[in-house]
Amino acid sequence: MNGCFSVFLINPGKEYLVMMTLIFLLVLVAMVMAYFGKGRLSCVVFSVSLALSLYWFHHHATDALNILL
Amino acid sequence: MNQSRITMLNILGMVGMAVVLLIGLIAQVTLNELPCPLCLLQRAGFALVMFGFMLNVVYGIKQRHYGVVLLGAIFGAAAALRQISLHVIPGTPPYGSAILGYHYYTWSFILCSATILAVAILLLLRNEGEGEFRHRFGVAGKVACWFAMMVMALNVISTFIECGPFQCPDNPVSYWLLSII
Repeated sequence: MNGCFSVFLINPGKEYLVMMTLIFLLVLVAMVMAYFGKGRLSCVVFSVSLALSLYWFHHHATDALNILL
Repeated sequence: MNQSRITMLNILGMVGMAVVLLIGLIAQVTLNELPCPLCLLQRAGFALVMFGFMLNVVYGIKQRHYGVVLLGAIFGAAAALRQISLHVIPGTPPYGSAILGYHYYTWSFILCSATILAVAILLLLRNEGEGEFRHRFGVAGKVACWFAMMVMALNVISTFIECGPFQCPDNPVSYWLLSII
């Protein structure tokens, strides 16, 4: 799917991935909304960006560390 | 401490986060150090903190706005701690340059922890005349908000140039957009 210009992508593990640029775009949209008085809507967009950030964090932080404890 | 001073501290917090993101972008361009996915997540944490401070600046000081700041700071600290744990393993080289002896991810953890501490202190401060205070969204706040939004827009552009509409590579060596044109 490397040639696909879609927001949602499918990796070899058949897991749906959302592009990381979207996190920053959503925070920017939330900031613009907050500035122009759409406080409640900006908090909804913030929640989506936080959920997306947590998704990516889970994706990048679940590899086992190569250390002996 | 009165409300206008606390608002000014929030403006400083928002500008501080914007400056941190701007320094990251300048280092990325001048030193040609592409941010890894965990680095980008730490930037996202700073952006979320910045949004929380902005809510306080635009709508006035509220407990839930500090909650937004804390969520962003905890997220950024967790991402930084994950990256520190990857590079603390003996024989594992660090990622990126060091500033004053600490790498970007270590600074990220320190700054996120400092933000949590600062918010705890701000929450402890007694707000004199909290009930009758009318919040004013002044010129300083508006200029700071536009600066923060501009830095955020630069981050959207730089992340898109690096990763495009795809998952960012684990060890990025080139910009996606520059490689296709």
